[in-house]
Amino acid sequence: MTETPPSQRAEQAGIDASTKVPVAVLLVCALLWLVSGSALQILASIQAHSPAFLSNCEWFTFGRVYPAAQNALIYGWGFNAAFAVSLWLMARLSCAALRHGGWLVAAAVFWNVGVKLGMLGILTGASTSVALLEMPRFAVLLLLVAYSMVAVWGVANFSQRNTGHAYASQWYLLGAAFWFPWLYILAQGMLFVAPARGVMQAIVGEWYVQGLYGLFFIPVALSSAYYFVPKILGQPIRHYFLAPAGFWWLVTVLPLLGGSRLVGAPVPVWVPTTGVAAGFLLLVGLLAVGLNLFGTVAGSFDRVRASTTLSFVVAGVAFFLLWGVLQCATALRSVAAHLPLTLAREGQDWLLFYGVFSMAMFGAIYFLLPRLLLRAWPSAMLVWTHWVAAALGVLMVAGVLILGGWRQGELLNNPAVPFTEVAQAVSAWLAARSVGLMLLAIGHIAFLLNLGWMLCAGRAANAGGLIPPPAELPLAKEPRWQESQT
Amino acid sequence: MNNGLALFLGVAGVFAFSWGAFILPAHWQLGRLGQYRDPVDETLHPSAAPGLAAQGGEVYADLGCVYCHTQQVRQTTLTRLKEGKRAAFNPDFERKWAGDANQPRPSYARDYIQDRRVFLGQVRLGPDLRNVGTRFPDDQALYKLLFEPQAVTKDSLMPPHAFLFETRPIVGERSAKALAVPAPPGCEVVPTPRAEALAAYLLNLKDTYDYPEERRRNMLPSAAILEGDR
Amino acid sequence: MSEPFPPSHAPIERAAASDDSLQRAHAQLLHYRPQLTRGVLLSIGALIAVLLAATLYFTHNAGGFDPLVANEDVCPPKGGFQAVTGPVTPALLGKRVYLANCIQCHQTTGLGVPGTFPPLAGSDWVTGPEERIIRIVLQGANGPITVAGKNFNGVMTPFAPVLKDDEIANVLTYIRSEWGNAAPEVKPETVTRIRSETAGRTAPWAPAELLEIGK
Repeated sequence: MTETPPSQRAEQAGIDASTKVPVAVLLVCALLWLVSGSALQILASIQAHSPAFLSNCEWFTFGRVYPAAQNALIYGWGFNAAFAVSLWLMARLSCAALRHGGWLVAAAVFWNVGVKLGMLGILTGASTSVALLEMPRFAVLLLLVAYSMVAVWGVANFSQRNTGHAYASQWYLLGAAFWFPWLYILAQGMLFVAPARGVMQAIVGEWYVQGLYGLFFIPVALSSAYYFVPKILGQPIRHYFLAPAGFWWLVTVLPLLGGSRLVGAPVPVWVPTTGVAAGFLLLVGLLAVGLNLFGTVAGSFDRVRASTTLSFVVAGVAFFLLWGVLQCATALRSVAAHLPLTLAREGQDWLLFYGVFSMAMFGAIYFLLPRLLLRAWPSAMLVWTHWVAAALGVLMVAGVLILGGWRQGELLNNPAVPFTEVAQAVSAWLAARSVGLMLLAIGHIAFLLNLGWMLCAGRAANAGGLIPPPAELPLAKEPRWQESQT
Repeated sequence: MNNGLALFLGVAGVFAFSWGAFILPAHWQLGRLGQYRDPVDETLHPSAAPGLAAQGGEVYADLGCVYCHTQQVRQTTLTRLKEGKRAAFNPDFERKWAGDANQPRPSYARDYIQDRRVFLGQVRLGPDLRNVGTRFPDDQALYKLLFEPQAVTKDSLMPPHAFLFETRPIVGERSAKALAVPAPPGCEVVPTPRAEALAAYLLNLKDTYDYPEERRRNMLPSAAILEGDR
Repeated sequence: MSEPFPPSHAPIERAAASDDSLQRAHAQLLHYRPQLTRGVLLSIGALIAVLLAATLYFTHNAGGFDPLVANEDVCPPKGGFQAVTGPVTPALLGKRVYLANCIQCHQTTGLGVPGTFPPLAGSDWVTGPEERIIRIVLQGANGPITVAGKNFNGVMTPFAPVLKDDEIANVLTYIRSEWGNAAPEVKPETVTRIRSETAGRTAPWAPAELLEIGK
């Protein structure tokens, strides 16, 4: 251990500087989509319980606003944020500057124009009505071109890495970069280019939705968690030898879960059964990730709370475990006869996309933006508002949808209750969802205000002094590692 | 985990597994599902939707009906206490969502093979529509509902679709398609071609043919209780 | 809460480890292999148990991997499902005609729509003399009519141009034997005879007129 640690090179401002322009552009786009997407979500949610609201205008009928809101959040906020954080993280962990980053700005432009065209298509009536694949064909090509540019840059950066080791975050990032385009192309092909027969379309659709969450958003979120937890706490991941097993296990099982979205549907019964069985197996992967991340965090919760990034990231990991347990419990047909075809499914998806992925992204953004722009977040109060609004808001939205879904299922399964009464009962829960969404929006506004303030405020006088060089991670501190050396 | 190529191959393998073990077998099974030839009168079931109904499917997609309505009579069999005995029942049957109220059956995969787009749906904020064609006597009743749902069911959560209709001055005789809704004097409310296509699509939604193979394969051992329960 | 308000989050997050040391420390940790302690063995046992449970669940609920089985409670019998055979009765054929032509008014329940479309279940018109009901199906009916004690005033569509004689006979046999109705079956020859007797007629029947027939 006598070789000179190249840590100075690792933290070199050069790497951050090389990612600055594309990452900042992507993040600004992401935040604008986040705010407009949550406005659309609130509009759709209000329409769900007050059907007359804006119903005269065909563009703003519920059946179009709702998919538009989903697409704005997933493809607008989700992908832009994931691109930004992945590119930065990959450059950092590969200890290699991002080359020709200017091209990535073109990719960002393509992506965002594609999403905008797609949204316009949905609102003007070109929606396909297939969940998360609503965008019309003309937007799809743009998205694919833009995506492949981002992915190629990320993978090229990885292959030029200056480190011998590939860290857990990098496995997840590399996987996500590879999986999404295949998922997207295959789903587009089997649904629209050469449509599969009958209910096979539904199977492909659910496989895509689950794959999008399980093979893209969860890996990106976990890569950020695996990076920031040891980075900020200064402790290596506990039981790190479990991390590869956890990785392979999770990414094998997660896409199969799509079947559980078809319980009771007119498909060959082995399809939903595969999903339910995958739900049991999910627990093993969750255990590995939980042992890794919470094993590291355990005993340092004060420091987690003191750190903005970790408060978001660790909340995201906690939501992930919660989601997994719920997924396993509700997959069991005998336990949850009430849940299929109710609001509960949407609640679980909120928990996954917002609770796990978005929280991890917020945490990462709070860490990386000051380093890129060499400016500090101006208001701790706004940060705190954001965290509270986000954590409470997502708990409220997901909780309301899951509990409301349970009640809805109970009523639907009781034929003595007329359908209009079921709808009335549901509308009260939907109103509560609107409140939860507004809470989330407050958080987004706080976030945007803080960012705007940061951008307007001048560059800090001694920018270098703002970010102290980090310490070395103590090697071989884990006692059991020493044992294995002997 | 340090070898980039091995990592890449593993990652590709994971995807190939999820595709090959899940999607491919299902595609193989369902792709071979064809129309059923009735042994008695040699008719083929299900039959393809007529042209206007197929166009209506596009309207159904563009208006996003699928975000509130499902199109599947579920398999779910629940049990409940009835006269001191546990009896099986299917809530969808009792809500009259099955095509044939006397001999109800769940939806089967074969019902959908002629649908260009399949809208199974994810959530039931509105009633199931798979057999809506058996519940509405004609398109006028559907138009009335689409135009102003709250006039048909007071607390309906369905958004009005007045933009599918056109208010125009009556020229000559009143149109036969005109809706029985209040209109300005000298005017009538008539459905646009899109509304007509949508109505044709909805009225065509009915699975009344019972496939003997499927019925046999999905009958529960407790079917006797189920029969007695009705 | 010990948290001060507003909280004192550092405006710039401090990192406690450099990226490079992060990589090196974990590169070493990856090679650690746990010793086979009792805890580790227990975990491996639990893992095998979960795998076994998932496999058992899958095999028991996969419906024999049969593409037509959509209900997990169905266990395929040994030797597979038997081919379906059953007697083909006129009523069974009539049911098809009924489902294709009649349910929109008379409903699959045969109860009609109260106040608008008369019921077929428990109706004397259906179970009464076949001469009347055949005429109603052939040329339709129009005018006030009393069915099962309730008054209706509507129009019944003529089916003479649409349905063949055996189809009419079958559908009548079906509605005369379904929903608790129990009247004898209608022969296609009877329909043929009445069709030729009423060949010139296009106007729908008035119920009063029908009551004179088959007294």
